[in-house]
Amino acid sequence: MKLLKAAMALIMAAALTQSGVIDENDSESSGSVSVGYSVSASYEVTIPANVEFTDADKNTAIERPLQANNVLLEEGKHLNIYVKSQNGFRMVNNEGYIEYTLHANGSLISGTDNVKILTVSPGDKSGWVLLSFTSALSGDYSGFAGNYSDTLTFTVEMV
Amino acid sequence: MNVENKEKKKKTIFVILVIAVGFLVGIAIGYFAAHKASVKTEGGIGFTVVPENNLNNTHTEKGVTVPGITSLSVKAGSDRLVTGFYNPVENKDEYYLTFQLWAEINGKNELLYSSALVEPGNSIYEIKLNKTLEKGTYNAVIHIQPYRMNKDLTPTNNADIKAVIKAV
Repeated sequence: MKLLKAAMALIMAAALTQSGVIDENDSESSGSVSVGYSVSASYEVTIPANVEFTDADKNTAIERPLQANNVLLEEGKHLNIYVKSQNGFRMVNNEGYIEYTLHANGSLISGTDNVKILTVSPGDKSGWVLLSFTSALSGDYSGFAGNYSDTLTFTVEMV
Repeated sequence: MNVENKEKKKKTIFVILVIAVGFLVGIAIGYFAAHKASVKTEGGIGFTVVPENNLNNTHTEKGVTVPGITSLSVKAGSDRLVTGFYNPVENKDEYYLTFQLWAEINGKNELLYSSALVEPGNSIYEIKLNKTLEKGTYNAVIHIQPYRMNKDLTPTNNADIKAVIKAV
């Protein structure tokens, strides 16, 4: 037991001595540390997944919001969101098609190219636009029964 | 005594009749009240529902959230790229996402990477590119295709996220 105590005392003394060692050159040394943090621009966009018309929707607009959230842009840059219809705003199947219209905040969207529907300005953290879908079918469809569909692609870019 | 008994009997019948009529009136009021309530409920469900967020539709559907990525970096000549592609938790129980990375190389769009289904809350940290890039900055598109979490994995509308790849 005495031997153990003596050994511990020696170890502690050595540790204290070591911690007390001062390098004379330390006071003269100098250096610099570069501190940096890179923040990437980022955002999240919530798009309508599907819009399904039924006979009950013939004369009714189906409304869906498109939202940009958690927007963090580079200084002076905007976030633009465009929409494009795969089939020129026609729901198609092998037998034919049914037309529909899309309005973004009341403006008619048409054609087969990308059309801008929302701009998020620098400094804004979010933005949204109301999309309104209306089937052009007013009476009974004279074609074939089946599922008719279209796909929308929403393109997002920071400019 | 006999007359007294007759009077008593009359009173008892009268009381029983009053109770019976009261009981029937109560049933009638209850029936009409219930009937009126059920009509109101039917109207509320079928025809006069005020949609969530005051949107003009009777369809309830959650949109799909996609992440926006503006810049990616890769070491020139390396086929490993750290992406940060992720499926937001907002899509929980609703949508898988897949990611395709396209880059414009010498005027031609080339597919550098195509992912499997990514579950909500999960991300892809590092990907292996189909080809390496020389030093430079490339216009890129991250094509995000969501799928419903159903048996058929129905594809939904999708998104193209424009970005740049910096090969350094």
